[in-house]
Amino acid sequence: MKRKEGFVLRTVCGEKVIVGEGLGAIDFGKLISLNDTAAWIWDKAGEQGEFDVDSLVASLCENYEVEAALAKADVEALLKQWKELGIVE
Amino acid sequence: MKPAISDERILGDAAALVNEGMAVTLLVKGRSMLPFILGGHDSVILTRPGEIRVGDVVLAHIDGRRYVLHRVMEVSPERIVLMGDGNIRGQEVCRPEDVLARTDEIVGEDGRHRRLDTPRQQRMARIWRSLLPVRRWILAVYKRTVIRNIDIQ
Repeated sequence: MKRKEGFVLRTVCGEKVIVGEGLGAIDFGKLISLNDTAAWIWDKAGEQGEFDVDSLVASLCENYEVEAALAKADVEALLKQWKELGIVE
Repeated sequence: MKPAISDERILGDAAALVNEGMAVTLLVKGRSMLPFILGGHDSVILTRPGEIRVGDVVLAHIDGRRYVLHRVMEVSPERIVLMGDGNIRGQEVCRPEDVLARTDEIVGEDGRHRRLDTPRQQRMARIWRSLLPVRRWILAVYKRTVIRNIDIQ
């Protein structure tokens, strides 16, 4: 899996959001807002280029004190959401 | 309840994105652009202002402290005069560089797009301007009928 090109993380109105800059348009009514952990995972996914649930869980567990099972459930849920939103492929 | 993010901040950030070349879609509030834009229901698509002409609908920063999305009434090299279509009095004056974005397109709640820059819309805006002396009465009827029906739905 990889991040879809053109989608970048930026701060709008104090919130971390994913913006489709490649589209040249942003709808404030449909902002994809990320919490700090999700934003961290988004950046990590970008660094890894090609990533999957396991590679992100490994990074998460290296950097945060979190149980692998819990991290996996969270990453899976997040990637499922991102896939539905069409910001990863 | 106080909103978590102030309108000033939202509009300021929207203007910054427009300045970067993005088209920003934003739900508008208020009734100051009736009957052309219905706050709380319509979104506007903001783009770079380009050349400003009488009749354009623009986002401007007034006196460096508040933002308005109003129609251009007068243009000169030093100053721009604005007024809300839904207002019966009160105009804003700003410098051309205070005009941060324009809107030529509205998106309704149903997702339908409407252009403001068609000859028909511009003609309607001119007629609406000429009705300023009786605008108060038309708006009163409009708010009691059309908007009440929309709000009830």
